[in-house]
Amino acid sequence: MSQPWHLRSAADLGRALRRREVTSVELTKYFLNRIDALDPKIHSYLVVTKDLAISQAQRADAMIQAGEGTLLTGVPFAHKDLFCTKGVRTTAGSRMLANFIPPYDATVTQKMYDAGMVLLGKTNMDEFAMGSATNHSYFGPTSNPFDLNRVPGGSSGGSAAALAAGLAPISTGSDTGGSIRQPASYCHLVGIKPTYGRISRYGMIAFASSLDQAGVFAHTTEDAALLLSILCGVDEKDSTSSYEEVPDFSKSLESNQLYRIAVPSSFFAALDSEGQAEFRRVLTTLEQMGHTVSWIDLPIQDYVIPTYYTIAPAEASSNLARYDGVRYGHRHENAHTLEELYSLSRTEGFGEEVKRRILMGTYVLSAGYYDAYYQKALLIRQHLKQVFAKTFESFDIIATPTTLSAAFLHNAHDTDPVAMYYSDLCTVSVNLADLPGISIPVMQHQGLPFGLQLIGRPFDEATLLNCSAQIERALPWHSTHSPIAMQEVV
Amino acid sequence: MLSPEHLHHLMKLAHLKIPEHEAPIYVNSLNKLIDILAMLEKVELNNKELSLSVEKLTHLRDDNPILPSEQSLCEQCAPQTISHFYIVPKVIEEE
Repeated sequence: MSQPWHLRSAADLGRALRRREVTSVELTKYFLNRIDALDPKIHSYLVVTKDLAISQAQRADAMIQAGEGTLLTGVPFAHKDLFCTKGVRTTAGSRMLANFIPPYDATVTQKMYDAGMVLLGKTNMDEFAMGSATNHSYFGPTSNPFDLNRVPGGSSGGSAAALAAGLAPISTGSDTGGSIRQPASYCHLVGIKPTYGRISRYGMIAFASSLDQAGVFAHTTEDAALLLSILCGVDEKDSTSSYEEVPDFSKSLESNQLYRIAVPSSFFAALDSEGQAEFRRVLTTLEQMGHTVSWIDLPIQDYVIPTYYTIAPAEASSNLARYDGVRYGHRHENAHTLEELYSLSRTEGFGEEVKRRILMGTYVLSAGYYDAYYQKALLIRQHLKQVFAKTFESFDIIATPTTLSAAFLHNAHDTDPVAMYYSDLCTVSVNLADLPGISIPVMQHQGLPFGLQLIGRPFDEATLLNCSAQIERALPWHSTHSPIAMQEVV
Repeated sequence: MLSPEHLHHLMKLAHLKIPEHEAPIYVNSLNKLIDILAMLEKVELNNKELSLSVEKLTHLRDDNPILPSEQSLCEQCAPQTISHFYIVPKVIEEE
């Protein structure tokens, strides 16, 4: 008996669509039905675009009938509520944008529409992507489908939870310091953040512009490769998007190329004994596959968090200065002066974590602290890039755990928000160095998922995907599903 | 260390208002973060030069202003407009 649709990969769904085993409209209604029945348990969606989805599915069926489109044509997807969707409310998880209906589509959105993919809805996230637990959303927290008492990670926790619960076959995210890879780790998913510049940021609500990058959540490496091939490429609307050639990533999955893999001992040492045993098990498998695994000294973990939490808040404080209650976004009703309008609108519109980061960014950019913190952090960022470049002279891939444990409990860091920042310890350096990184679901901690992170050279996503595909063949992860994903909906 | 007075200065710069009873919470968490930033001072870099992060790949284009094709849609996002103007509180007092 074949698997139910929601336990199959997006590529499998695409093949079924092309064999006419199912129509896009039927698939779309199937997932909408599951969302209706099961999403109240985890709150992964902020908006479900039922009517739009059905009309897009009808169009996709016509494309398939005409032999047009790609393997993902007609496949439904969940979209992080950070990407502008014309005519569909886009909130970034904030009261500030609670009523914002964009007049245009993000380039990511447009590319997925052009490919004939079907928007199921917009997913929950930490406000303006600032958080690691999806508990800083104005609209309430999202829960982890593997354990409802735990967080799904963040900031793209809604997109990750929706997949892990079988409420979408594939989804989008954004990653400024780990916001795709960390939720992928906590929700047993593949999550890839490509090189900075690979995917256009046009229409992606900004947090820290030199670090923000769109990416993909998927059940399989093939799914991630297929969607990445659609999303990558230069965009005249984003001058930081890259002209670098975009290969068909799905064609780089089959070979069993052998790699020189570096493992920084400092990240390994930060794991507890159970985590170390799991990580060693995966490294042993890599060696048995013929890859060369070498322990290296990459002494960066003491300064990546302070560097990130200087640069990211500085850019956030500048980016979020645009929200003033005048042109769009929340506006205080009874302001008597312009200054009151600005400050009261912003005070009401932003949540506590966003305010904290704006204040921190203002601090590091203010007179007397700019050189000591911001300039120094920029210099360290350059130094970090050189450290990675040097490492990649001798190695093809750097492997680390994605996170230091499985998902933490809701409210675990409520009294000490700064402690939560350290859940990004393994991921932020990848953003600071503009590198591609992927998390793959091959490890467990206390019976819950946590991921292996592979880091590659700039614009060498193909190597990461190939290595991930090899590991997927050696350690298949598809039989593990969350309790909610195992629930059938009649 | 950040003092309550310093927090008020930052609030003014950032156009934010924090209620008095919440100020100690922000001062406490910001000071924890500032403690972490102290690590930056210990990193020795030998005065390495800064450069753009993706200078090899960034391209420049002519910055030609264009009128938004759907101005009315943009105005629909605005909290208050009249005759294509955004409404703000009076800035200059009448004589």
